[in-house]
Amino acid sequence: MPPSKGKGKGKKKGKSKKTKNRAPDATCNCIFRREIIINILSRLPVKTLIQFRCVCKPWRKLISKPKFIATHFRHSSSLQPSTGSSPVLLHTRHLKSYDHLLSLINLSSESSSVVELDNPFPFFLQSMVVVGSCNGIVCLCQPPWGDVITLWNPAMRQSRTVPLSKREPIMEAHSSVSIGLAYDSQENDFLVLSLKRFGPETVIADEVEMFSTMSFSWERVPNEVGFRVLGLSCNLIIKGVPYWSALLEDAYGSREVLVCFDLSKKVFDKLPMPGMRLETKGYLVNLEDSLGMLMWEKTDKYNVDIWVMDDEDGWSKKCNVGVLFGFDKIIGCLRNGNIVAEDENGVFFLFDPVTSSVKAKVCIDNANSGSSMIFNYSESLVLIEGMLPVKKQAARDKLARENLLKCGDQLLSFQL
Amino acid sequence: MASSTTGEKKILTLKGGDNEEFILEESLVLQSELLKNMVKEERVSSIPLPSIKSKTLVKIIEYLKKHAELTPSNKEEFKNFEKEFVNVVLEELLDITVAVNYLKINGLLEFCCQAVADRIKDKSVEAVRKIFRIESDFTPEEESEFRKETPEAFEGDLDDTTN
Repeated sequence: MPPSKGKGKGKKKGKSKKTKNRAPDATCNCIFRREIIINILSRLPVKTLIQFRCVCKPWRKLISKPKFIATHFRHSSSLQPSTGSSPVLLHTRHLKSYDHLLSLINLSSESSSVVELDNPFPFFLQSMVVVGSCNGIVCLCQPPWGDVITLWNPAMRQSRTVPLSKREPIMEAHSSVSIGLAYDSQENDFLVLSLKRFGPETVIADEVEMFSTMSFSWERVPNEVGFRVLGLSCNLIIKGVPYWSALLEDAYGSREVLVCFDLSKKVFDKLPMPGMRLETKGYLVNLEDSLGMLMWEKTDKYNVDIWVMDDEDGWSKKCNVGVLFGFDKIIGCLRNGNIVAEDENGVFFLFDPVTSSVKAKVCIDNANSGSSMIFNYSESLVLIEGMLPVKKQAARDKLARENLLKCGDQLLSFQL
Repeated sequence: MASSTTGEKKILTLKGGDNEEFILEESLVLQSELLKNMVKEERVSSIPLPSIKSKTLVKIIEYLKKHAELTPSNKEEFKNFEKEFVNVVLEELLDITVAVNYLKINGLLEFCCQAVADRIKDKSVEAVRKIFRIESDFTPEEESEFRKETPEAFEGDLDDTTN
């Protein structure tokens, strides 16, 4: 505001200070300025915003605006300490029914919680892979052919499936399909990548196709690097970019590399992998929105090396962490670098590598130990055209089956 | 910023809504984008801020002083101060937020908006309307539809609009 205005206000002082301070805004039937309302509302959880749509028409309109949705996601995904540690998506199998359970798990020193979500994936399908999440959308699919691709917003409780490509994998020629999810923030476009793999005995590069939620169609993407990915889904998604560990055969021989999808050029790039021996295990992680890797000796359950990738210098070892307890399995790590590990009793530990201490402990009920995987997730208000509310039916069926199992147990103990 | 590099400290007077005067070092108010521009462009020595209550101004000046003293060694202390700073009744917190937005003190604005968000996130729709002095512009039919769709939005601490 120019200074002359400030002087003018001085002369008129005392006249109507309330109305000047809180002049009604034409775009908001509220005495607070629109910019303040936006600033406050964009920091609220999705659950609250769904309810606050009922406050008034301007709020309802605001909460569905793409610009507001983007601002809200920037806040919900920020790494600021004020917002606390962000929850992660947990994929486990039920101890008895072996159902796929998806939960939001919050690990923090103040309070840890596990909240089960309504899984939109058809429960009668035995296999399900969580591809990962970006911009509040989670991608699920069925291995090994990468079908039943489901895009899901857990916070908004809405989902839809992606139509399959006309170029289906050929049973004899292809061995499996690996799925990845990407988000092009420039175009506000979610991209599903489908990498068709040929049999392990061949060295033919993967065939790649890409589905865009904007154009709602599949198109071919050249695999100029000539890689063959290893897993059934991308290993990691950082800021909308999916990463895969892959094999590459070229003049230097056969080696393991990392490939990632370049969103602006819509092509794949290859990155080096840190040198690993056969005895070591590695786990790709997101460390403060940069590429990182946890590495440990298969026989040593007390030491973990943390490696980070730098665009200029490549991979370098950041530190070695002496984990106080022996872990059974490293599950992954939070974006702030805290390591999540599971012990032999299925208890989750949150380990702070800086202070070398266990920050939080949580027991996952009904989880088949060793089946757990975590994925970075930040909630958003984003919806994709054609999304429908996730039916509660799946939860009801689950309950019915649980009861059935309980009955079976009782019957068994009765007989004994 | 040229003025702050000269050795002597410049003094500035801020006049609150109820005409109360606050005398402080010019370097302190430079944290406010609005005041910084006024000082730079017009070389004023007294700035009237009729729209801001003196009580609110006292709080904001308290923050500016603390923030200016912030060093890596007293980070924890500052964090505790920030926590205490927003520990006021909701109406006062909103007054501060509105004033900070007007003065354009960016770091504090972020912090205040987050504090307001944390305070209202479990409130009912009715309570939020009261807090922000909003009249519902939905038809009674729409209103009852919402109550059916999201009953939880209308439950909760209806009258508790102060905390």
